[in-house]
Amino acid sequence: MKSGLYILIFTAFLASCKPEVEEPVYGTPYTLVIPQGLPNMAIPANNPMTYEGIALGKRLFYDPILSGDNTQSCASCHLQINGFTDPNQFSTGIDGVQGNRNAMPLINLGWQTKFFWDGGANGLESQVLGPITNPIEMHEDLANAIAELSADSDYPSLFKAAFGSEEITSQSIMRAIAQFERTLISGNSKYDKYIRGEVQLTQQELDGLNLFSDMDKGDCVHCHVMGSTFSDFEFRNTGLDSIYTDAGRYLITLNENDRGKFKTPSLRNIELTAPYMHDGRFQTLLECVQHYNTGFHYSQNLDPNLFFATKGRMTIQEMEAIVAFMKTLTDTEFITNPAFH
Amino acid sequence: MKRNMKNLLFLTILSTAVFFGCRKDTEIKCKNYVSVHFNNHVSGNDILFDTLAYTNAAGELFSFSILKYYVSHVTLVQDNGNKVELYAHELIDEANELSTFLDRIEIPEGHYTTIEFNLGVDSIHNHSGDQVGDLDPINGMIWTWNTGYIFYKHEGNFISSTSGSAQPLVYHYGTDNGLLSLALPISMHAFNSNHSIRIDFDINKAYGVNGVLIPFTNNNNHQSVSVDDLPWINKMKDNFGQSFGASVFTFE
Ligand code: HEC
Ligand code: HEC
Repeated sequence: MKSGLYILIFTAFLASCKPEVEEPVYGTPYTLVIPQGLPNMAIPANNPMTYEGIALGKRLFYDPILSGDNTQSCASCHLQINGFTDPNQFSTGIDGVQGNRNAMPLINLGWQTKFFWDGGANGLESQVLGPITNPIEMHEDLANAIAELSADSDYPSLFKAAFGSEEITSQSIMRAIAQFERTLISGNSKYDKYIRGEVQLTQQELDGLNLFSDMDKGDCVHCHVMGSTFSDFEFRNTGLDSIYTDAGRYLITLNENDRGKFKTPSLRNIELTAPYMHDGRFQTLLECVQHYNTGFHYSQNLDPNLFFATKGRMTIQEMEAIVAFMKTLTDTEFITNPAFH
Repeated sequence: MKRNMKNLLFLTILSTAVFFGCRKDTEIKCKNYVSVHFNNHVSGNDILFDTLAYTNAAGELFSFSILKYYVSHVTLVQDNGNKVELYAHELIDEANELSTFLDRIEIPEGHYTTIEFNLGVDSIHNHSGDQVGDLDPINGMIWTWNTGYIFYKHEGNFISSTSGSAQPLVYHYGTDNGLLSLALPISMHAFNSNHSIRIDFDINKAYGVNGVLIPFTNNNNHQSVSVDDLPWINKMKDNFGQSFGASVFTFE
């Protein structure tokens, strides 16, 4: 009798501590198709891709339910037609407040490990929390978002199909959206077709390709690595300013050497993602190349590749050729792919 | 009222503990159990929310609207050096009394001389929001623009010594550098026995101990991790190191 009660109390205690178990995989496994020329993508072991997870992530990405007043979704600032970025210099959040950074294109995110211009977000899953809760973006309280999703007629069953439980958690929201984001792969531009021997580049585009790699001319490849992702995803100071209004990577590391450094963006679909740079200061690609030719400012943190580059090393024709080459990175299938909208 | 609640809860847990006590004359194989309670106070006073009832070492009146913090790797150390980890990560939320009473854990027999824990989230878990339980971002204890947990969050008001008016107080403490490991001496014989360890946390010491004052006036907003916050984080860390004490309660 007494021992029966004892067991009862004991189990009550047991029930209150959750054992850590291997997470079971729910849903139908999905295998990413990586276009030729791009490296393999490492998928986090705890968030395997499934058809159900991706579909749920896509729905959440387009659903304003995740914002404070249900007016804004991720897609409000990340438009597929613009390579999943915002054509405005600064995006406006639900409270009408603007940030001080240009929205970033969501392309080939699965190959990156640090997100935002300053790399402050670790991991694609964690990044999702930023825009949802940021007061100048979707300004939503996580608990509130979860309550709304749980009260919805569809979402609980969609979460169950993707993650095995109708109980909606911050973790399952983050994981679903990250799964969808990993599918946003661009690798079928004119340049890719040229590499595969399917199309020819024009003479100007070919000149641009060579100038882009030429150490004495564009010398862009140190950072915008040739082929595949067109970025090393490192943090670099490209001399946009010598006095910084936005300290960039420094805000995260608090290391003086990181002042004015920003993540090297990919140049894929660059034609579609204007305006350019972390603060959207340039409207055209020619302005960007001009910056690297003559416009950059010297400072202690200026990247050595630019520090040793000669100002005015490119003619206007050469700069235009580089622009023509960058436009071969436009992937029209990517911006029209029905799987993404 | 609050105090009664707390005492009631403490008593309930104690009486269960007594109930657990083994009887050497029965067949039941006896075991040892311990539970840990975090008791937050301000110089011995219980914490009531939203009342300017507390005075810090700098002489400023202040209040609480939020008081939450993380402890990690709460571990008992035996005199022979053996360690028993009781809890990995726990969020202590003063507004949720139950969160201050950690689960009862079975421990091996022995003489325990130290209780160790960190104030904060260890660096392995500190840089991802993709976590559940007490580390779920829903607890509002994470910086999303610079992924990392807020280890200690105190929000409330205080009376500014310059303007004489009430102003908001926002202290969000964190970063890997801010992770503080503590080791408190105890003396606990675990042999067919039940124990409760009470960790007393004097919030006032965090704001001023041994002459290191952290006045609120002109220093009331630390909710980022910027270079301006570093000296503050270092001072708080030193003070936190002297703000905790442990007492053991034993029930045969
Ligand atoms: C109000 C506009 C706005 C909304 C809404 C928005 N974003 Fe963003 N997004 C931005 C801006 C601006 C940045 C750059 C921020 C920075 O670097 O500080 C960004 C950056 C990102 C990045 C980083 C990309 C990279 O290469 O590092 C990802 C990923 C992202 N957003 C995903 C999302 C998701 C998912 C949602 C919905 C949950 C969302 N965004 C909603 C404006 C927005
Ligand atoms: C030292 C490394 C480095 C070199 C060399 C470099 N870039 Fe960049 N590039 C960056 C970084 C970092 C950014 C983002 C800078 C910012 O916003 O503060 C950037 C941004 C850009 C952008 C705007 C991207 C966007 O999404 O807004 C374009 C276009 C660009 N670079 C083209 C080029 C071209 C063309 C060259 C060669 C002439 C070149 N870059 C050389 C590192 C480099």
